[in-house]
Amino acid sequence: MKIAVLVKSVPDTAVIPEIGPNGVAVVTGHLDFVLNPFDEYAVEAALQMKQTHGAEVTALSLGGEEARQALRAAFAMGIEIGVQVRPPRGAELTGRGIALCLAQVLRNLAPDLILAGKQAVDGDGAQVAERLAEHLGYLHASAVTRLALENGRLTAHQAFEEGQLVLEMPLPAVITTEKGINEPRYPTLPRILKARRMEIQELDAGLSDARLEPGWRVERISIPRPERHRRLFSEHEAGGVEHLIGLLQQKSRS
Amino acid sequence: MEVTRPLGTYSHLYWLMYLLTTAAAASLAWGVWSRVRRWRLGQGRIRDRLDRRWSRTLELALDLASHRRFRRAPHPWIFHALLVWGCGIFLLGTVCVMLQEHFRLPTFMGVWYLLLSLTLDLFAALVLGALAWAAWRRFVRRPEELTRSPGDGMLLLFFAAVVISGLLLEGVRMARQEDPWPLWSPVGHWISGGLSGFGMDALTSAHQGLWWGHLLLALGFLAAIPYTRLFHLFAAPAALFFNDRHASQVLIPLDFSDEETAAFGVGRIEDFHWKRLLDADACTHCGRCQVQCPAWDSGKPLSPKEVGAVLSSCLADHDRDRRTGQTGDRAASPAPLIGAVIREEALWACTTCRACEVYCPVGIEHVPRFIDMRRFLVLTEARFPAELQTTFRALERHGNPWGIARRESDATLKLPTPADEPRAEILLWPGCSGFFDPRYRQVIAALAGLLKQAGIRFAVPGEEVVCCGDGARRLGNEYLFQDLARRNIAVLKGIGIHRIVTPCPHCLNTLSNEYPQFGGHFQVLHHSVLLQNLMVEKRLPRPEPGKAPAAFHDPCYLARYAGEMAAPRELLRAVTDSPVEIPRHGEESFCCGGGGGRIWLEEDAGQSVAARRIQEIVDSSLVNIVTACPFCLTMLSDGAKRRGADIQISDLAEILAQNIKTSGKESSHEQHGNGGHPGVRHRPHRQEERASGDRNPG
Repeated sequence: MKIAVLVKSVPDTAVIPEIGPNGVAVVTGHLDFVLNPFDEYAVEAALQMKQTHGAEVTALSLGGEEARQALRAAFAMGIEIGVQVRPPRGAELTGRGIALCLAQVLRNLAPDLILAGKQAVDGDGAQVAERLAEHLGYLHASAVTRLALENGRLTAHQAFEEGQLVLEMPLPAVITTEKGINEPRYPTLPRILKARRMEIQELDAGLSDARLEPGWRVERISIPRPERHRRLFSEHEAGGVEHLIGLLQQKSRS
Repeated sequence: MEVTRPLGTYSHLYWLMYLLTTAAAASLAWGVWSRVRRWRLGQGRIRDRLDRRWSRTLELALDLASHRRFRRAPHPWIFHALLVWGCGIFLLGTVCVMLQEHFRLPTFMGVWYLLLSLTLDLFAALVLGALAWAAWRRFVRRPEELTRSPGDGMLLLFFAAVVISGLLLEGVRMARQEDPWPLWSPVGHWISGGLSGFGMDALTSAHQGLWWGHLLLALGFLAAIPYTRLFHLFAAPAALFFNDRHASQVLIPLDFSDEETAAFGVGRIEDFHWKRLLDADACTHCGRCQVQCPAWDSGKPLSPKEVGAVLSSCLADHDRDRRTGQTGDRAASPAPLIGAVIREEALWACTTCRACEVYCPVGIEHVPRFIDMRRFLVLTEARFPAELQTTFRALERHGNPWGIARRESDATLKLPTPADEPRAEILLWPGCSGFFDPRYRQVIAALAGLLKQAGIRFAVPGEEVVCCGDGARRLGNEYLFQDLARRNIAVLKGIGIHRIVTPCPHCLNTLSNEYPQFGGHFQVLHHSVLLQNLMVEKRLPRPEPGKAPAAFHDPCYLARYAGEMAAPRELLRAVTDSPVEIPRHGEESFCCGGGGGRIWLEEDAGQSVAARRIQEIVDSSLVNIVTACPFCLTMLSDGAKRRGADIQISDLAEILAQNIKTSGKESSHEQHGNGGHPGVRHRPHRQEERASGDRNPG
């Protein structure tokens, strides 16, 4: 069995992003990149399947240097094979373009299962895995919180506010992982050190720029600055506590 | 007439005596060597612990002579001191006889002889008494912490037999041949009185039998040392001599430069530094560490004593396997230490408070060995309590254990950065709690107000500093620690203010003691020391002391790691008329449960450590507890709240600022107070106000 895990580097969410002077892009030069947290679940799920079903797991990441970082993070967790997919030079990729590029490579790899995080926390597009499933003609389930493979069939749980949906499907399939599916492992230091030296395979997406055009453009990016209401209540002012209780009750009702 | 006693009765058989002595010495030497050999399986070099040779020797002599490490309530020590001193005197007496007999040196003559004779007799009696005490303690009183192993009774009897045979020998000698100075050998004289009925022949053969009997017993005792519990006669002084006073303060750094390294930390017994192996063998299982251990006390599965015991037997097994040629198998699948021999839960239960080390009579370095093994779990196996992953990730990504972005918090600290205050003489290092814990920010505000009031130019490091790394290091994540340390050192060097003051004893230890390992040399002060100095220099006004009693809870990292117990008490005296002490205080203080990264871990087993401390505080009817550590403040406050105890826990800086402010108001020098500074205005909550009200009536 072959499993492909799609991984992506995203700017460290610890840092508040800065918007470039043109107002349409985020300045990423000074940002630290980390492995997309939802992809960590996908990597962990792949590693667990490898352990129980003896699958061959390949991690893929699209992009330049930051893609290699994502692969190294996946290596540190225990992935053995990493492929950097190089997009056509100068192409500005959205979910559509990324999916097209990856589809090209994955068609050749022909994995039985593709795992990915339910979305990347940079643009929160949540497009790539689903588009890929369409391009490749695979079945798919998104935001899965429980996954099991038995006799070549997948059982996937999707959680909703009021309950959960249990899907059963044959392979090949695309599954995106949601928080709760597992507890991603903390990499051991010998693995982190080894990951730095592991070989990364490089492949070109081999697509023309024209096909990758998003067909739309970003008008403006802004960071919401929610107004914070701050009011101090004190037991020392008359009715202060009662006032607070009243306000909280009102809030909880609304 | 020469003042001495007849010697050389059996001189024609001295060759036999020396033969036997040589055999005993060979047994002793072989036994000691085989133990030393197995310590050498450990890491590091002997040189690591051979610095300051003279002071090491002197301190060992002092340890043995004064028993200073034993003398901690509630543990008895006098009987052991008598045994040690007695052994010393007996050895001295024997050597004196030998020098007199074989080298004709006047070492057993004259007044010296009389004094020696008297001392020998007295100590023989005292040692017998001490042995009886030890036997009573071991077999009748049976303290829970004391490990009783089979053969202990035999050893006590053996020891007693050596002493009794010596005394009987003296009695028979005095009965056989009148001693002109009988009162200088009082016990022998007393025994000889009971032997007056025997004939000369009987006495002569008794003397012969006793002389050889005493010799054989004494030599047998020596020969048995390395093979019994008596081995501590050798190992304990060795552990004391090679003891590193700073072993817990300054942990051995790991080297990450070799990317091929397959394992970090201690996963197998021979991964330990050799001193840890010596420590394991030096332990006599007296159990003082266990009595004082907050983890054990609160019902966690950790006994420092048991850890030492299993490490020692693990070492013995490993050594035996090596000798019997199982090396090949072992190398292929090394005997794992953690899980198999030591429970993981035990390792995570340690708060690194060092109570065990302070109470250990033989200078065992307990804390570093836990951290050695935690390092293996975290770095090599990535096996640790689930909640730690959040802490490690937060430290990696955000540089602080809470995982809060610095920029979000800065606005409220409102203190000058090095850029705002280029002439700053002191860098105020608030620590993670100071930046992110709303409760502890009040402490920083109070401290900043006091510094301002004293006219000190200070700055607070900008957002590029990260956690000092104490928690990461003591949780075993050395890799993360070194990363944090290097980042901070670079930033601090850039800022260029080399005098740092911090209210956090953990930051204090890491910044001042551990950063030099990575090239960061800073002069770091705890705020209690600085504030006390400012008060002495009259740069801060001495407030009117309050009336309500208050006690200082010594943070482990202040009292036991930094040895600072005086300054906080000076400050306490400035704020209260009646400073009191919690039963366990100073160097013998009891942990709050937050150290060693424990503050980031759930406390599942047993009671909470803080609850035990709160219990002690409640039992002493104390209401106002002052401390000087963010973890103590959090843990004790939580502990008091959980119990519903009406105890007010505050930091020294807060109390001081508050009292100076109130005193200032009373003497109507309000402009002198710090009322104008926004940082110091902290609305005390109800308990705090009542407590301070008590202190300052009117």
